[in-house]
Amino acid sequence: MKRIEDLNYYELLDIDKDSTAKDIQDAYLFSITKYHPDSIASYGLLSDEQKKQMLERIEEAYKTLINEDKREYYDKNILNLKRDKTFYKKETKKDIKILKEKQKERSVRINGQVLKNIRELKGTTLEEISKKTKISLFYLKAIEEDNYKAFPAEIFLKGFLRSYAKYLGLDPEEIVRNYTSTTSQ
Amino acid sequence: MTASKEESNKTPSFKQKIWAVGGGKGGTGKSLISASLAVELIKMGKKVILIDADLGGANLHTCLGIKYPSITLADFINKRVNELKDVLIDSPVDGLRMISGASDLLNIVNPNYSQKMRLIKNIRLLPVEYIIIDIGAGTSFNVLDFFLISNSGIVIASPEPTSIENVYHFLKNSILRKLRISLAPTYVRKKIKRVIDENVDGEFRTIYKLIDLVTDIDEKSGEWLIKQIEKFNPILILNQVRTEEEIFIGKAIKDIAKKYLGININYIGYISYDEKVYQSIKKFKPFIIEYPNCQASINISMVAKKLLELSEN
Repeated sequence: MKRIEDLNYYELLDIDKDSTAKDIQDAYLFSITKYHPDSIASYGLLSDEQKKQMLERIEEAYKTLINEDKREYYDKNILNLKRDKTFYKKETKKDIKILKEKQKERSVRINGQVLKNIRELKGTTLEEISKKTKISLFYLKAIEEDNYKAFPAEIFLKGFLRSYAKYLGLDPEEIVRNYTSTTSQ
Repeated sequence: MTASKEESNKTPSFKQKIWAVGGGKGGTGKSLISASLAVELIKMGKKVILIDADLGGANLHTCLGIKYPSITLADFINKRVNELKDVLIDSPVDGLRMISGASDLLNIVNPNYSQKMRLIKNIRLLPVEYIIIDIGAGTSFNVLDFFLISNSGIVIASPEPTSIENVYHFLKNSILRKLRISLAPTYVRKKIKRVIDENVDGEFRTIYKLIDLVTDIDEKSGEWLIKQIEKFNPILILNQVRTEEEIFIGKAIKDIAKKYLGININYIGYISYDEKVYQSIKKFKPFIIEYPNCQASINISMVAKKLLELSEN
């Protein structure tokens, strides 16, 4: 039985040490939905303070593991994990295709609410994103409200979503793939 | 019904499996799921007895279409019959027998310790491989004790705050009850009891706190406690699931319970919200029989198969 304070970054996100970048992002998104202040999954067990503390640790874990250099350093120096340098190289397009197929079922569904939760937890406002990305507030709100009809064509939705995700430190391509697969259902 | 000579053997030749269905909150579908699992096992050719131990609100008989049970658990508890199998009744489902808990008598709703122990002892003597017990709502000692005698303790939750709150409460109380009634050496139990009694005001947000407090008194008792908690592996089924996002709530509960309570839950699946379930209740028929191809029936079949695999491996 390992205590919360003793959990390493992989355990915090409930993933294997061999997880891919996509696994890490999925786990991160799922963790945020679990511990978000409005989440019902921990209702009655965790206080707001406990959720906040957990989210801070999850953010720290995600930022480390999603960055190849930081992850390599963490694995080597904190976990004493010895592995080949090539492990940290980005997956090839072929690898990604195979992984996507494999992981399709495990993916967390991304919708506007999930993205909004992440944005709020990062303390970022829509106005701030709008200013930096030059995307109008109207379209940013439409993304978070799953209002797909607001976009003149899907290509606009994808483009704006890509910029939005990038600004929040998420993998833009993965977010676009997941979000649009949800919207097409 | 009359038990056959063969059935009256005191020691069953097979390994009996008891599934107890609980979860804290009322209205999450425990009775319907208990009945449906029993029907599903019967369809798979298993021998099953269904017991309604929801003594305060028994209605498992109604789920199966029995409006007025001829004999109930009350007759056994009040010793009008000697053996539990004497209160078995046939259900409209071919091959499925049940024990109804229907009664208005207060002493049945709140059986005393010896009545409860006699009941538990007799449940284990029932000549059947699978016993499914609907233990009802709440976290009273009686409810928890039925949960803890099972091989598979099944927790039913619905994806709503009140139900989830009660599930955590149920899990915490189950583990505390398990520790208190365990077969630990007396000195260990005394230490656990002391810690629990001294911390009645909500100290146990995490079970780890309990372990720490017990370990502080005695290290070996703390180690024993950890082993017991690791052995407690309740099964979770999410019921009345309406959206795909809600399916993930089961996994979230599993992860959170592991991190904060140290409890390894096995989330085996979910049952979709289905209007057909409501329609079948009004017809006094199990939905799994009335609408075998509805989404809820398909989900129940999958869940039953998983439970069976777990029980038989």
